[in-house]
Amino acid sequence: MKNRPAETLKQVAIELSALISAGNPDNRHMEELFSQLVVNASLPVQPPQEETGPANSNDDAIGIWNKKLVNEKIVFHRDTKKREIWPLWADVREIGPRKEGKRIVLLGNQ
Amino acid sequence: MNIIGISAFFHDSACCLLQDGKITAAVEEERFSRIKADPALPRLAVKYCLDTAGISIGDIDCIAYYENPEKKLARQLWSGVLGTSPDILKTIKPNMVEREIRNTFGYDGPIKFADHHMSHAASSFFFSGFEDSAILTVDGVGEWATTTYGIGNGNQINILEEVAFPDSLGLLYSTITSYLGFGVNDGEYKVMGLAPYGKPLYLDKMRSLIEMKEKGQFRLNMHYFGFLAGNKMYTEELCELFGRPPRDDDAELETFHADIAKSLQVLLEEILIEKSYYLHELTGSDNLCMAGGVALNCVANGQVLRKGPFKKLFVQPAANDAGGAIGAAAAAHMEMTNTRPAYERLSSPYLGPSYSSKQIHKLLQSTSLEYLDCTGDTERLLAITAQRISEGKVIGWFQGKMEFGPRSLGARSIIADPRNETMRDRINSMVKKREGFRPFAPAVLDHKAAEHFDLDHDSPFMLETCQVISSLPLPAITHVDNSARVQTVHREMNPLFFDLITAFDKLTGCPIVLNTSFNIKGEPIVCSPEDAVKCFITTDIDLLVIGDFIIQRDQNNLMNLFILLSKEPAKASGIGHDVYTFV
Repeated sequence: MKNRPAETLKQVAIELSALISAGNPDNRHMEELFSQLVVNASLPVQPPQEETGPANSNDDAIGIWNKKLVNEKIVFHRDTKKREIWPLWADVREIGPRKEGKRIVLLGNQ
Repeated sequence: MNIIGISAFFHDSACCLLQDGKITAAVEEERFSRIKADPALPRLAVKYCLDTAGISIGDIDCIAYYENPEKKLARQLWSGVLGTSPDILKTIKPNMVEREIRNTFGYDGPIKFADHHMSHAASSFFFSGFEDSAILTVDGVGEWATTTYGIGNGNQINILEEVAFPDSLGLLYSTITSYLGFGVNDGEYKVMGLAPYGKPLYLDKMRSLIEMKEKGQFRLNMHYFGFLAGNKMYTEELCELFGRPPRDDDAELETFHADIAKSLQVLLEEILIEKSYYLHELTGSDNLCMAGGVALNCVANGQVLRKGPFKKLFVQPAANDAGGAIGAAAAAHMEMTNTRPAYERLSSPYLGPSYSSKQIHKLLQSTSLEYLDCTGDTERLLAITAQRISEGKVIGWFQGKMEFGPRSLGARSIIADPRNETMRDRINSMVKKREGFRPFAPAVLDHKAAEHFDLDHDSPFMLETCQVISSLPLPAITHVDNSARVQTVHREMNPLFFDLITAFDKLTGCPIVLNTSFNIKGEPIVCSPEDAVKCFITTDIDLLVIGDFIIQRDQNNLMNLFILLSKEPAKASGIGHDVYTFV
């Protein structure tokens, strides 16, 4: 079964944890142990985290909707991370791909 | 002997005070901070525990923490969840838990660390009232263990076998929860509620996710699980297995999703029943204590008791990680005194704060609310409330000490008539603001429970389901498979709630009320009178019965207050819901 670190590395992790917890100053030894875990464990490489920020800092977002490519067409999907401000926007889960007609944006409140 | 028990830093942080072996206070931090599942060190909860006992931190003999940070760190390093950059060696703070406890509380006494699953085991066995019992703990993960098999005897607990991470029934359940578009760590009970709407059509495919092994062991097929990578619970292969992409969290629920939920629930029950036979053989006890987040799956608990080998089952009301605080304190008590903390069964879940009539009155006087004062006339308060329930009104019920654990049991409850066909939809949409498929629970007078439910024992903590056999129509609390999650109400445990249901019974011939937690979707259960009044104003609750006072919606103009309170931004959940809270 893939995606499972080797059992044999448990002792390495236990030793490393004990050193860290004891505030051990021997960084070189700890780095050696850590590299064993990384090299031998085939740990899943984590992609860099996408930065998240306010709606206007993201070129792929309009308000609470994020741009997504679906069947090679652009749709906008409501971002669940912005759920708290959903009530400030139209109650629309998804803005579908652009069709031939014009689209009108309504601004304002109440 | 004063021992503080703490669970913290991952989710559902909580604190309890154990005095000479007796739990005198216990509460989750989220109830004070108003941050759902708050993982922070329970600063406010500790303050409450000390204040309520009239002691200070200097009077504490020991602080017990619910898991072993060093073992946990080892597992995190092994699994790679902390990342692959050596920079993490510089960012991990040695002894963070101990330093945080000492710095935050100004405490210089002994601190004891109990293993996570020992905390779960102790939280159940030591308060079960059993002299001996098999002990099964099942959750996502603690340090290394995800499931343990043990035995309790007198004042001793022995863990006999454990299943190690990443093989985890809790993480299996959470993974499918995430695939179904619900949040990990809080959506699992929605999956349980959805399951009765489906058929186990995907059971064979579900079985391919996990391989049963000898003794208590099982092994997840990690081909389908992504949680080791730390950003998603499942892999693309899991989506291919079921032939559908994951559901977006606000997308429609379809029959497919209910069928997946049902298949998962059936699989979980099969495994727990199979392993309960193994545990019975291993221990020879007819009693079973369960704890861990999976023990909150009341449907599975009922199946284990009905179809498994054990004659009696005990699950304490905070079986999740919050309850680990109780277990850690109990284990520390055992270690320090060599005596069992309690021989009696936990007699009350009401371990949280209460507010005097004077405090409540002071709050109400500071508002523009019109209210009825029933001070000194409890009969009148109960008669009016029972009458209004029978008229189809929804009641916010705020009385006495708050419950410990995720279930509202008649202290911070929303109450209604279970015979009313429209009640379920009304409470779901207008009050709780939650998914319409989720059922509500009945609270029934203990001595009349057997007339209405297929239940031959007490269920005071609402942690078991059974079939409805009542001759009364009870659509608001009967699930689609004719089951109900029953709370038996006992006068010695909660006299006021018992008397209210009795008054309703006298009026209607129905000894049952609908009982659900007093909160709205995504928020913690109300704790203080202020929380209760806010929840009353911003929802469609008809009547707030708070201490000696009754506030009726139809006798108040709440529009301005509603507008004011609606502008208050809701606090975000304290934890992420894409993956289990490993770190």
